[in-house]
Amino acid sequence: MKKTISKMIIATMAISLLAGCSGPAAGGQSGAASKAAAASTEGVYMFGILSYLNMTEDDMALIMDGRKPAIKYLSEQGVAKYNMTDQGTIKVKFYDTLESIIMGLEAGDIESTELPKCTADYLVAHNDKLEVKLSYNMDKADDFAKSVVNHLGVGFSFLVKEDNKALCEELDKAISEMKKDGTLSKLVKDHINEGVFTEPKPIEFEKTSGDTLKIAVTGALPPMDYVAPDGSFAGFNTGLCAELGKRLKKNIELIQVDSMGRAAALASGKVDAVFWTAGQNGNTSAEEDERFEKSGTEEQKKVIESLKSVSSREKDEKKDRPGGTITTQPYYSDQFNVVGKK
Amino acid sequence: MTLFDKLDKILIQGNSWKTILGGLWITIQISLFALILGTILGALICFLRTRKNPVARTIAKVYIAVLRGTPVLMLLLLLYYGVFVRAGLTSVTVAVITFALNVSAHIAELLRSAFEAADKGQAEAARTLGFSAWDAFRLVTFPQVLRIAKPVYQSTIVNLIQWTSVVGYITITDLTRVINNTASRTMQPLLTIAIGMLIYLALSYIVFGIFALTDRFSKRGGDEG
Repeated sequence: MKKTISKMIIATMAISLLAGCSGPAAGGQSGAASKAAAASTEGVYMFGILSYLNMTEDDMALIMDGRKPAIKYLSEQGVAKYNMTDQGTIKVKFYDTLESIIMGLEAGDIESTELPKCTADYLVAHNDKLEVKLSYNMDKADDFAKSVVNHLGVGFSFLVKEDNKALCEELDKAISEMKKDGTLSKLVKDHINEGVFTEPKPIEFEKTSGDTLKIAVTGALPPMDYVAPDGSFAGFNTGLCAELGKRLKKNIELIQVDSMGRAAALASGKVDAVFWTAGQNGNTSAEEDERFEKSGTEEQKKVIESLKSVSSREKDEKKDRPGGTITTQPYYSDQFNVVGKK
Repeated sequence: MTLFDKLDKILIQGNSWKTILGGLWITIQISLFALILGTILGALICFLRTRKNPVARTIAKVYIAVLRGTPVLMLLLLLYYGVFVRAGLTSVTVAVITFALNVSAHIAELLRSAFEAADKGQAEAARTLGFSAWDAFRLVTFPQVLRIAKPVYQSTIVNLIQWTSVVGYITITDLTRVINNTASRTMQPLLTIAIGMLIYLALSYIVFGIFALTDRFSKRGGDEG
């Protein structure tokens, strides 16, 4: 009797789990539940964000609040494609992984999340419950609008130990060369522009007689960094590493570490470099900011003022940097898009 | 996207089931070796814990208190990124050591409580009948200890398998890590995690099944005897 009851409990658990994950009927029910959950905190707009080391959720909410005039301006210029309800008071919830953000979105725990455009595109291409709520049409953007979008963006760099400046310089040099000779653009085309919609492309690493460079990957931020069905590392970062190996004449060993364990892996010397998303989009410049501050329209100046009140180049660089580390120049820069439930 | 499409993407496409099985095999290896080492260590600690010598007893008490009272993830990180950082051990070896240490403290305590619950009168009776101390332990006390400890030991094994799910922090691609990777690739975390849970559940039931089989064999052995 006991056995039958326990079998029934397990079967019910399994069916409810599977039903909760798929199927239009179940999706409809969970959608209704999530709307009810969201409605219970009326006037508060919950954003889910991948955690920053040196910032609290309240700090991040302030930054997002300070961005509102900029997004309004871009929307009026026809640059920002906006499909969001009135955000009211913004609150931020930090998540350690992208998958927990997706679960938070699907459960209605948060209403939107902010992600690099490439990841946002990948997400909506593979999960039909979600859609992009805020993106930017750069064809319509003038210089100022481009600069604002870049300020709202993100740069992807390598993080290395402060006492390993030689490696930082070596990587910086190789990144500059790859930018010049078009290698990075080709990697972007293969792994980001096309990679979002296609199966992971196989990446080959050349064996050399040189040293081994150990680089940490998380496998948790497609299409930059993820793991193919056969268990091999895939995505833009892996392609970049294969190319770096050739240029630096080093064997590359990719080591998968959970995102929260990366700083410990770097500090202990288990890895030499880790991929890091911090700092501003690499296409911004202090000179350009100064030019707009001096010669921009009143409206543009207000946008700059609002952005400056909540963030700066220095603050942005420090917000996610572990102590005793430095970053290379960004090898890829992206906009931040907002994704939410359909 | 239908449930079938999602399952196909998670389990079939690109032979991802092979990668999931690979992760499962790592989880089994770590759990099994940690269990063997942990049981030996646990028996040793239990031996020290039940001695009259206060030094031996205190060492065992501190060992059990520290290892049972601290999160195994912290111990894992401390050993991998600190204590053994220059030792040249593989991450799987460090994981086996960590989980063996942790589980040994639990096993030491479960063995001690089983010894305390065993009927001492029977051992004394065996001694008065002329059994040596070793024979009284081997033939009278030990079988009772085994019988008393078995259900808790079984739960400890299942707990151990679940605790190993944090080894991703030290670069190991176990079942949880493979499930997380698959969730990130497919962007279907809920369904992928549900599948992962079912695999862990199946693993636990295999453990329960093995114990049920040993029960059946021992009963049959008893009947024949």
